[in-house]
Amino acid sequence: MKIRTVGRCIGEGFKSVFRNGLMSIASIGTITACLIILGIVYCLVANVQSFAGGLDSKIGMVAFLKNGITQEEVDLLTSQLDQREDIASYHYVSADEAWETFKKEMLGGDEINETLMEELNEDNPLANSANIEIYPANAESQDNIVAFLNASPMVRTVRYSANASKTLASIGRLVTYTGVALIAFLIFIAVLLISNTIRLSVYTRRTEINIMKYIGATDSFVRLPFVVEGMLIGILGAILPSALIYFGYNSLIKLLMTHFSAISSLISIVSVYDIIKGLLPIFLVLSIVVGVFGSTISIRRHLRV
Amino acid sequence: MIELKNVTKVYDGNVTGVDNLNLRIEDGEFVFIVGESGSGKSTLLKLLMRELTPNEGEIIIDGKDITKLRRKKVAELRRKMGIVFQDYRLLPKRTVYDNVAFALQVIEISPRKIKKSVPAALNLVGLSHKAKSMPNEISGGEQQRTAIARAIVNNPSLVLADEPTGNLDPRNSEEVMEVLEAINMRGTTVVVATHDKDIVNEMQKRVVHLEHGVVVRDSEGDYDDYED
Repeated sequence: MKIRTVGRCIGEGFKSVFRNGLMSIASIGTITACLIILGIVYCLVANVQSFAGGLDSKIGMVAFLKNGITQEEVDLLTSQLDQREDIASYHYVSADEAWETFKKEMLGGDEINETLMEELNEDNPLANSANIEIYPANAESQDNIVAFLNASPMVRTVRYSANASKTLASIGRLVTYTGVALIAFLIFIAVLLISNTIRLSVYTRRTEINIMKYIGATDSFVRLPFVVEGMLIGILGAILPSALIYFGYNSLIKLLMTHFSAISSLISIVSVYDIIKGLLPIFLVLSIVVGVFGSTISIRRHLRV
Repeated sequence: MIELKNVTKVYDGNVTGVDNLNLRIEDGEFVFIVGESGSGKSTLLKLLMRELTPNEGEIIIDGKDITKLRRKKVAELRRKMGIVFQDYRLLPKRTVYDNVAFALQVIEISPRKIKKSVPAALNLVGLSHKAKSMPNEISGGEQQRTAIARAIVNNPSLVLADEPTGNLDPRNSEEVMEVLEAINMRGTTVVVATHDKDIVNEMQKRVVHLEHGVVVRDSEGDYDDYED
């Protein structure tokens, strides 16, 4: 095929999108509808996962340090904690800090208590309360961290809730597996619907394909404009739902922030950029691949004249 | 030259299209293929345009047996022939000019040559003034003449017409046949499948009469000469 003809076929592909306006709108509409549903589910799954992940870091554990521990020993332990990737954060609470916090909580403007506390200042009753609050990166790593702390010579005892972490880990896995399965199922349905729409679009133009064949067009000459058209419809069908999801999701976040601030303070909502960053490649690959292959496969049977 | 040697085509379900058909058409001839519906006229044309392949026999066009053509070579064969259908088969969203030009674009003719050839073809069929019209804006006869212009714009050596007047009134039929005769006069072989007695009788050309896929008459004259 001559380069001029390739250029012409590509141009024809562009023109065909407009020339067959109604069918193009139907195809883009179907792809957009499918991908919007997919996008909504993606947003929900991403946020539920983020919420479940956020809870992990709220289930902490407290490692009480041995009596008379030196600052050097505390520094050694915290440096070991720094090196662990399964720890999201930790906070060292010295005996003095523990006592100060306790006093603040107990005083409450009570003068008798104030006098009592001042007497106790000389002999800190929480001298053995130096501890480190540790928050794991995820619930599943809690067991490993507890084992590490129990083995450390600087640690007296570790307090944690084994059940909470296990439940959270299970919920996290359930959310991930269900989300992946749901998205995979929706992708499958989208592929079926989109390829069916493209097949219908090609079918309505079978006469055009026949005419081209009868006047001596090669298979590639007939196919190329359809492939270009399929790709264009795919691109438009990916960009449109991405834009709608972007604006829709953004508006929802703003709505939650202004009218339901209590909810937004409880849940860390996934940003619209992270959503689009995850969705756009899926949308583009899905719709372009289905658009191109759908056209190529659908046209094959009409070329046999 | 076209030559069919012992050609048999049987469709699925044991329906015979043509049965042991032998036929020779010389270059520049005008031939009517006539017969009742189901007699094998369209099968014969489809075999010539390589839409169908026979179960047996050879079909020689310009010295080559087209039954042995690979699928990729069919496009090359069709570029040497113009095909006209009963239902015109024009692209509805393109103008008369674009429909004719399309036949040249498909075979990768340069835009400069297209600009010269299309007006000439439209002039030959008497449609220069309708070049910018859409197919739905012109009459059936004009649509068929557009289809003929598309068929001949590439100067093919053979024009195959399957019931070209089937959807037309007598006046338009006559116009279409005049155009086909003019094309034949330029040296193009024209094969017309029809059961329109009037046009056959009017033109007094070679008539090949088919019945149940078999040639029962092959001579010049009226449609009914065989029955007489």
